[in-house]
Amino acid sequence: MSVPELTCAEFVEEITAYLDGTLPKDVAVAAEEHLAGCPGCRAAVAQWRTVINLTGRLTEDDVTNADPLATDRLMTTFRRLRRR
Amino acid sequence: MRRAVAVPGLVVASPWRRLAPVYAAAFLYNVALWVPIEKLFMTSIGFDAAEIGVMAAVYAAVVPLLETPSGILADRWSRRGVSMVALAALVVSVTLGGLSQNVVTYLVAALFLGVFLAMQSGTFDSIVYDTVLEETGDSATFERSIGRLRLVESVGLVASALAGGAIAAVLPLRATYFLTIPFIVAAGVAVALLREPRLQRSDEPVPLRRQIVTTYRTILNRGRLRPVVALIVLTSLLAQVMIEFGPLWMVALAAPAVLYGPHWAGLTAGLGLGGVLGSRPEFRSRWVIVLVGIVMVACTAALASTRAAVVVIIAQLVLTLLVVALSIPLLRRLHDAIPSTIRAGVASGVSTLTWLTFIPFALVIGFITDAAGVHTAGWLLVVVAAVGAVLAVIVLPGEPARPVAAEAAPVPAPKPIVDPSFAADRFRLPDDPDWPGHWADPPVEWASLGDDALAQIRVAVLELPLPQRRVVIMRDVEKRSQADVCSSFGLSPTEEQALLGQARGTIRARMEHHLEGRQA
Repeated sequence: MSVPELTCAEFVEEITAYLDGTLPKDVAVAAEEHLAGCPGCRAAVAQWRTVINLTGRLTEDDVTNADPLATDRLMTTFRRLRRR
Repeated sequence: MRRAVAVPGLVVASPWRRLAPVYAAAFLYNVALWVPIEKLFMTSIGFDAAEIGVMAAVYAAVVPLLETPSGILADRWSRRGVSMVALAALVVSVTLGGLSQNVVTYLVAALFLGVFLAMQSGTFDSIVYDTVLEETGDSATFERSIGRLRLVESVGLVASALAGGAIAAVLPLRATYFLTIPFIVAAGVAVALLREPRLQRSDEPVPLRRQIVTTYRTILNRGRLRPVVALIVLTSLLAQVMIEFGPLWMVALAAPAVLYGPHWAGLTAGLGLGGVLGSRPEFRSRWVIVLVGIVMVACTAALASTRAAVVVIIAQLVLTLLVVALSIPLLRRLHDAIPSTIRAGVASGVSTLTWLTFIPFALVIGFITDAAGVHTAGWLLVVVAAVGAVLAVIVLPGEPARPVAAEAAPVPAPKPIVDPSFAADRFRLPDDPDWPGHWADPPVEWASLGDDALAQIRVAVLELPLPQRRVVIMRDVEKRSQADVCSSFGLSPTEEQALLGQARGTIRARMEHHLEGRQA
């Protein structure tokens, strides 16, 4: 099986899936290969990890106090998204 | 403890925080200290009765001419922007008014006041409606939000009118104009702080011509909207007649001067309290609407037949309260039926229709009052109230339909995974001879993060659109699994990844901007 080559523009579109480990196997291999030779994308991944770590340090109070949400209303929004 | 995310109805969505600048601005620009002394001031700079009539004509011409075009401008450009321009016109008007030494300058000031009224009308209501829709996903809390807006507006009016009278007693009349200016500027600051809803932004730009045609066609033709628009016009007619002509009854009855103050204060307070009353859910019950209709007709009949000043005052106050109350659920019916892209235009257009109906109506009332007395003119109000009552019973009872805007709303759709965080121009073009699609402007590792990094992240999370915000909070703050998020919200894994990617990307871009001072 040939490994597809990724450009930087393509790689950054897959960062979320890459970090979640949900990329298809061949793409995951291509992503690792790309990263090995690309300092720019390594920096992008590092920035992404910093964001996730910092977000993880927020408490639920930090992000919920300001905006008590109605789950049922939110569900309506999500259902609408799905219908599109 | 985890929040009970999966239990519907446990927490109530509140657009309150986002609407706070709107309420603040509405209070501040309704502070008009010059209103109670305006006629006095006008007389002092040489106005006679005929010239006061010319000034009324200036408004009557400017407002309907500009109103709908400015609403369309608000839809196409920015509602916040149009509100700022409106407030600038108000500053010009009040400054010119205060500086006026003669009739001509004051007429120019009145012209600018007309520009303000035209630009402001429809714009604030539309901001409220779309903010509620954007924050909560439907329009259920619109009545409460708009009721509060009416209350805040009337508090500003009443408070400043009382204060204006007191100030004019110790300072020159002109001072009331100049002292009003800081309040308008503060209103401008509040509007600048507003995060404008984006629902009216369409994905593809609509040609101006088509937008104008759609807006007017919606106002005049749409079947389901017609009785709603007719009823809005009738209720506004009654409210406007009470404000403009209400005092005529007092004059006709030779009411003691001491009653004028409470009468006027009651009418203005009725504008605010009516807003609160109309936002109650009872205003959807058929029997409540029938009762309201009967009381409205009874009030107008009292105006046509009674000679007792106290009864007339009570009838006017109750009538004002009820027509304003009816206008709140009506406004929701109107907004529910129109898409966000033409919202301010249609709302302004309906307001124009009200003006255009009021002018001939006011002439007829004036004519009948002159010829046969104000009580005879009262029978005209009985007819309007009766038609309004019948229409209200037809239009209002029952649950409102789903907002059409919610269907058309470009809420962040799970597009194919697109990362909004790196702008396209940070990569080389696909036809680049050396490194197509590779970095032109690569990101750098963030060496040190200041103490305020966490605060930046928090603000970024709070500013995300609702679906992205919920997903990133569940995943990255509450550290739940993808499967958890998908099952809680009924999303596919692809959709979940898209929302999460967009959320993290937006936060990253904000951090980059914060740390490196560059735009995404």
